[in-house]
Amino acid sequence: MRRIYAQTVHPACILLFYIGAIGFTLACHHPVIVSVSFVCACLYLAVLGGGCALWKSLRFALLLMIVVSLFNPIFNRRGTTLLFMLGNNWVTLESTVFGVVSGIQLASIIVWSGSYMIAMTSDRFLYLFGKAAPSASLLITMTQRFIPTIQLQIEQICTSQQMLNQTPKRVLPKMNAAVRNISALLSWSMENAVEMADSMKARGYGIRRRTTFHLFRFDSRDSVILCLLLLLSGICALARLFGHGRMEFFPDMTLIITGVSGIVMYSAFALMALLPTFFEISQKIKYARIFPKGDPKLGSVRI
Amino acid sequence: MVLLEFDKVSFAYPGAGSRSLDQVSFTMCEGEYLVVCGQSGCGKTTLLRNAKRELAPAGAREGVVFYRNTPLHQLDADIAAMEIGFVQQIPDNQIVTDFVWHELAFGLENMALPTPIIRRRVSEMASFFGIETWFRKSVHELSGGQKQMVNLASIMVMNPSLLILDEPTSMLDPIAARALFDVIKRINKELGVAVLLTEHRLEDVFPTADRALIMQSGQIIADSSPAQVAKELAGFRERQRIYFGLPAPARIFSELGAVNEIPLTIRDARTCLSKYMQGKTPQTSEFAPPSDQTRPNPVLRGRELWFRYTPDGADVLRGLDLSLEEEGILCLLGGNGSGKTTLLKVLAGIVKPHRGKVKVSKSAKIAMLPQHPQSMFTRDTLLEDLLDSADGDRNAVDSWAKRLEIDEFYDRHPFDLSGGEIQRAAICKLLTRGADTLLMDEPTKGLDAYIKRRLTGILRELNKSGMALLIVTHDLEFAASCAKRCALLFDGTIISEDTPHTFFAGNRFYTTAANQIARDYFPDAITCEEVIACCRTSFTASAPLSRSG
Repeated sequence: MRRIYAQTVHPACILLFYIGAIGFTLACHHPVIVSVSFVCACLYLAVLGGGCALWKSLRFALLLMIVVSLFNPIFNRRGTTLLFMLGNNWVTLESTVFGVVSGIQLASIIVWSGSYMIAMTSDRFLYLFGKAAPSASLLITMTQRFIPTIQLQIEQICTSQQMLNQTPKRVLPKMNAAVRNISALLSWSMENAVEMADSMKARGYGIRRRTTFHLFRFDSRDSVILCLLLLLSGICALARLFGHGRMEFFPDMTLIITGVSGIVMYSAFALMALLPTFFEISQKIKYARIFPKGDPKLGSVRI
Repeated sequence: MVLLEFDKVSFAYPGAGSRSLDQVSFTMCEGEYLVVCGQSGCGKTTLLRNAKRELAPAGAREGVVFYRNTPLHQLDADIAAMEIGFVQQIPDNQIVTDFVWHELAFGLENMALPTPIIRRRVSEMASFFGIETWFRKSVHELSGGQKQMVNLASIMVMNPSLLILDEPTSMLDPIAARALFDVIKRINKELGVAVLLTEHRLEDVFPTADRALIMQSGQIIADSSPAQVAKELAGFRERQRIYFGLPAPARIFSELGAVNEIPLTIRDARTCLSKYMQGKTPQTSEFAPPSDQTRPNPVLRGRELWFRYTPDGADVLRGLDLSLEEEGILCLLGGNGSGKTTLLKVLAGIVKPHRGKVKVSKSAKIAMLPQHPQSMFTRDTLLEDLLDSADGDRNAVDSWAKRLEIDEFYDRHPFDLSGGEIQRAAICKLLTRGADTLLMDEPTKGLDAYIKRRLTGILRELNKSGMALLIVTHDLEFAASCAKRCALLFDGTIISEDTPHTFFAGNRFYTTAANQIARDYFPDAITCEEVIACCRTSFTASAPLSRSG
């Protein structure tokens, strides 16, 4: 198991970060912002999930990016700078850039959600939203327990039937047997559900509106992270209100960078987007220093 | 002070011809440990469920149940939920949430307690039960014993005064069962919580219980201290099949009848035996058959088997050699997680060994009893299922079902059966299959001692007519009376294999209770019957014989 230090941070901070990162990426259709966002998202996913997770996410993201960047200039004929003619259609510089920016924007959101899935596990999500809807959150928790149980049960039913030498060879009886196995699975789960309901009732379920218990603590480090996030996203939001982080593409492209305040905004966004990566790496370095020889358990050879 | 009182309670399920409870009256004091026993179907579960308001079955009821002098149905909902805790049979079905810590908090969440209080109670209980190390684990990673421990802990966080347990160990192996009983004992002795329990495995419960109730067809027929009850049961042995479930010390000495107070623990029994044997010469017994034998051909043979579940995981089997001979009964013993079930899966061909080979003789028809008996049933009634497996041979089904006493459940849905009943049904289904090589995973799980003896008889008989059996079990008494050979599995290999008498006599700790008691005098005697026989012969052949020799 890869250790994920983001999971030691309070879920509210994680949620706020993703709202900021994804929100600004969506709100700012701007080459600098989306590129920064994309690079940072890739970095973070690589740090959290390793190359494998990054490649899985990137495969899809890049495909989408290419499709969007190609299709936009073909179908969007606005813009004034002619690049070349495709049949009778103008392909303009403006619409090409617009397509590329949109593609990167989409791709970065996909990559961000890849790391979100790792950092924000279901129990963290439930903790944040459980207070608002206790029954719904219990339902989700129970479903999460239910799915693996069902998988295990169907496996057991199949092997048991197989070991009774009851798996027929011809097609029709085989299908019959499969249907029977599934109906057995259903009645087995149903029976189990009755007992589970008993166990819930026995422990006072339904007497009153429940609370949701959790193991999270908001510590001083979380408040530092929260302040940093608020500060950086505040700067970005303010700058966005004053019209930075937005670009006109049609009919003519405006300047990409406009003044000092623009630079401030981009650096604030970059800092925010890099914050979790920086945090993760700093924690890794810290623990690598404390345990210079690595994990003794992992080091030993199993024979 | 009286905690729970049943005042002439009668109960009948809708549509049932007879009463499940018939004028049941008893009282239970604060902090008392009460065990209810009786054969299956005698009304134990109905009795227990009537003591927990939320789980009281629907049907015709007479009489009143009092909790602390308040009728149960007038209790405040909070008190009814929190002060009376109820643990059911099947560990899996009682767990509601996906993580251990969340499951522990479930009841307190229902009570709408604030997080800091829940946190405190949960951590108190987690440390009392010693589950800190797997506190943050997902419930799927737990063993059956651990799951039941979580269920118990999740009830204990509610701080109950009365803990009701309905055959809590019927799905567990004896070692996990003992661990659970140890915790229940601690809950009773250290926290002063009253315990009301039904159980087949009396040897674990009798020494600690304060009182024992015996039930028969809805009535309480005995109510006194365990030692007294043991004495009474021995009196009318023929009628009371739960007699066979008594702990070995009680059975040996109630049979010998040489003591005033019937011992319930092995330590006391050893003292009693040394008194009994005073001045007598122990008769050396020859139970072990000559272990010469040219070994017959193996039906099933595994050579140098290696297996692991995950690429980086530890090896579960490490170069294991095993052979099951024609007409052999091989009992595989070993602790939890020693790889017994994995070995069965490998031998049965469900999974392939990563190294080594499994050879099955060509004529062998193998059938297996799985760990979860529920998974064997796919029809709507038990009879259909059994007929299905017997290929429609009603006579075969009838004869096996009668011997395993499940013919009365023919019309029931298999999943409506209790733990012990479905285990019997599963064995029945396996037997009707007509295989000649059986692999059985914990066949005695949830069975009462009487049925266990009957099963031993059946398996022995089948074996005589040529069936080979490989039985994985934790049940040492069963192995001692059933096996032709016993093997100990440890650390992925077979450490020792021998005939039961040599095997158990050679072990110091891993041996039957009867052998523990009598090993100083009769090292070869491994079952209660053998010890009793030895004691009796020693009596007749005492002083005069030894002098003449």
